[in-house]
Amino acid sequence: MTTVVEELLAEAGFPGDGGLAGLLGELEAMADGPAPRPSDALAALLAGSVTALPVTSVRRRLVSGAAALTVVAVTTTGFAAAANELPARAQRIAASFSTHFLPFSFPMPREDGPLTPGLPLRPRPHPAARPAGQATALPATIHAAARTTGTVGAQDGTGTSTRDHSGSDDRSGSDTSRLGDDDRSGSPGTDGRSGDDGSGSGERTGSSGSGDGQETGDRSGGDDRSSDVGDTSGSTGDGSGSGSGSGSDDGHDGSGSDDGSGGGSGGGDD
Amino acid sequence: MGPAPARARGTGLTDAVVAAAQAGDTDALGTVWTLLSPGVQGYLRSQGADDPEGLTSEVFVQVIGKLAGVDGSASGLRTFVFSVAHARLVDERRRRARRQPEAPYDPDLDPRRARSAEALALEGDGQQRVADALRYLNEEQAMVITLRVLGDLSVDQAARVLGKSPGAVKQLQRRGLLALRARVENGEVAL
Repeated sequence: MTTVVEELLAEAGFPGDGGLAGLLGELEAMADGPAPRPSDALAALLAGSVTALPVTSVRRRLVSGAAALTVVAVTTTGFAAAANELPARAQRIAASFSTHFLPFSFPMPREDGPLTPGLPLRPRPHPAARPAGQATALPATIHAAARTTGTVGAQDGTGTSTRDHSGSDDRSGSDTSRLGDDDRSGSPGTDGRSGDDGSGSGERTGSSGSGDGQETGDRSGGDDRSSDVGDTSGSTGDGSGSGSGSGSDDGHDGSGSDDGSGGGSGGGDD
Repeated sequence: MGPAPARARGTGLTDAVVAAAQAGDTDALGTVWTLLSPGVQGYLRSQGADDPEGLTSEVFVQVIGKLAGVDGSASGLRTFVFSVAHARLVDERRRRARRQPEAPYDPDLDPRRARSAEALALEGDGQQRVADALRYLNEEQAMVITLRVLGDLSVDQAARVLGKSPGAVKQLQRRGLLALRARVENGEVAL
């Protein structure tokens, strides 16, 4: 009986128990014998050929490094995509991915997206090709932002004609069709943009209209593509009217506001 | 005459050997392996580890990697080695528990009647009887007794390895030995 077994039996309170001592002696014999054959990794360590560096720590370090790089790459790409700073192709991929798989969406590349949000892109028919009488059938959404109020005076040139093209027309960059062919020779006195002879200058300062104030059915001037829901009712008469208007259409240069304003006054007897 | 060099209980592991191993001396490392690995392997085998030999090597790979931070005494290294062995054993048991459950062995369905060489070897060394006897103990009782006998650890050292108080270890040890004694007296454990 070895010292360890003797101590154990004494601590347990039954020293000299032969049966238990024999059993514990057999247990102790499990530690006898030669050392087991070391594994290759351990043999290399024992031989001093490698430094003691656990394999698991190397693997853990690699995994941690890869995870950190992934986080940095995803974060950087996300910020760049949110700022629409990625190359067009990558931005398109990121936007598509976010649309399908993320709770938020990255913007599409600039050349792919609408020129101005909220404005439908529709080809603008040439006013010259527009048959008379179809002016009211034009889409009323192009000048959605432009508020047009006015009272068209007497159709025969008398009455009061006031138009206030106030508002903004932010047809940014797309309004090229109006360059040079804007033959909206507005009826003086009926449109604050009168005097726009299509010079394409983009600066339509309304000239005071004094004229017959005729506003023909084809809405000469062609600028009434807007939601011209202003009162077209007005007093009719054959008086004389005068109108003055001033306005500027900065939309010709692709950006700006169409904040023409005009005013006309006229009087006539009904 | 000066005092005798401190020795770990029952082995030739001295503080000088431990210090040399910590300095990277390969002979000292080999001595540590030779003196401590049989006890570690016996502990792992008695606790039913799947591959006691391979697990023993893994234990010492980890020990050598952290040898510089070990308390410089031989008893400190012994405690540390068995702490690592115990931790690896617990890890292996957890891995085994996560695996698919295996069907229990049914000897009636086994056509083999000749005893395997392993069983004969275990019986010849009495290890089979020991393994049968330890099955009557609960897990903690078996750990305390095997650590004390195979690891040559004191109560305090065993308490540090298991993360328990010395009093709790003494209680587990006493109850385990009482259970074994009862089995021996009843003839349930053949000697």
